[in-house]
Amino acid sequence: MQGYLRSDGRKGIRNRIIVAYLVECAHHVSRLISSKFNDDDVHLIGFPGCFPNEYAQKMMERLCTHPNVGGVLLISLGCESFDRFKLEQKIAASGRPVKILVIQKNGGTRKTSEDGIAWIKNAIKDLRQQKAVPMDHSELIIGTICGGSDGTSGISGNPAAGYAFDRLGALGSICIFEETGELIGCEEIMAERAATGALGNELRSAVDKAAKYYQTLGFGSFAAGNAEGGLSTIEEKSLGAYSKSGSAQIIGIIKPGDIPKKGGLYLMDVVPDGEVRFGFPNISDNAEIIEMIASGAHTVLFVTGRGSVVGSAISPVIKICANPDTYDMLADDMDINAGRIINQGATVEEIGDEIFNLVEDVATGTKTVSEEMGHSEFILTYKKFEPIGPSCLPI
Amino acid sequence: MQNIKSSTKLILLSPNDNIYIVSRDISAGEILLIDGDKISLSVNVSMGHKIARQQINKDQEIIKYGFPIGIATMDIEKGTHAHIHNIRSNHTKTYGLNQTSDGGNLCKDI
Repeated sequence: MQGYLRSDGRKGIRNRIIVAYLVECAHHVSRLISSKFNDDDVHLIGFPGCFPNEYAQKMMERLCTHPNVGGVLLISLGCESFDRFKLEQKIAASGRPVKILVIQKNGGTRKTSEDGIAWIKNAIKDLRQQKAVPMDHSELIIGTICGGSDGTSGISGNPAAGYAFDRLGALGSICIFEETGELIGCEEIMAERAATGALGNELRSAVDKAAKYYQTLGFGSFAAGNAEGGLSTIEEKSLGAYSKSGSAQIIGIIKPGDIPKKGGLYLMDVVPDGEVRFGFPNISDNAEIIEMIASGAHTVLFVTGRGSVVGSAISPVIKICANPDTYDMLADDMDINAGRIINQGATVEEIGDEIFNLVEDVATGTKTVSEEMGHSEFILTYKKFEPIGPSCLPI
Repeated sequence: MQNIKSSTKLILLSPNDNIYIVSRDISAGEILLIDGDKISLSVNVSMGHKIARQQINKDQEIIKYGFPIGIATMDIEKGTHAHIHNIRSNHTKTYGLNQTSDGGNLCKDI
């Protein structure tokens, strides 16, 4: 494996330029700029809101200084509340090239997009001079998510991802699983795996918070396709989702944008704190994927049953198809066919080893199928979090 | 939890489960051997869905992976499709569309 060394000591498995709009009003200009470049080189991210939000500020800071990012172009309309000055300072302090273009001060759409394109052309030249250095498993951060789950997900794809997680964690990688709203019903068995009793209580509270949050919203983290695919309740979906955490000890809880330091398995709590506001905690899969990337994930294992085709901005997504019929229909969109566990006698361990090997390849530069096809989805909305409690981090 | 014992059509995930997982699409009228009894399915059941391994009474827990995944809202006979028409969550209600992607009904016996 190999990575691009950053000033904070972290290494990136990609070396991308990010174009970031700081309000929806700057989205189109940003897209005019990013679309002039190859998908490998330049990705588009942004925050649509005009009003300030600490979570969004933290997410954008973490994403713009993610190890897979080599330089950042910020596009501001000019009157939005997002603190572009603070974001620029954080990026500059990380040693990355950064430029802000303010549309209202820069002559509008055409002039700003021309200036942005020119800046990126230069920045890419510099990035291409940078040489990758060797990278170890203990320097990797891996996330896992499941989306478009069905009755096969918890039998094939999720346990295989869990097996890969066990192998990666044993080699010192930081492994993050998430979605407390999809762990409802699993809190007791999960708490038994906590490194300390206090952490076990925190795990229970995190799931309890999710259950109450969704109760208020009136729906669980459960889509119509989950039911069509054979899942009857949120508890059933949860038990299937839980298996992607593998069997290792859980050593910590993080919230989006917290970057773990010590290798091992962490739960990411993505459900906001306090009273219910701003709507659903995870409005679609990419919201969760980008939260794990904000916590440093170099790549994300995405298990799907119904068949998701997404990738992500910044970090490659490895798609693991749990359902063999879905695989037949969407083979081009899948990196791993875990459906072979269901209909071809493959074992969870065999598919887990395939996932492990692919993580190594992707961390050596091999593109995932979603990267090949230019998938670089991104979504970021309003949320509110309190800092994690003292029992949440490993001793 | 994931020790799969698979016949060609049915997967038992844990010895205490009262449901089987269907490992491929099964058509109405197909005969299944369920723990010694030959049972003809009354509806099509898709891959990944559940059928009752034994008689499950109203208000009894549905057990999958060895853990409860919901409550029976009516008596579920052995060999019957067990899904959102006869199982409810202990937490939040389940949202599903009545029509499937293929234009059929999700639970024909509703």
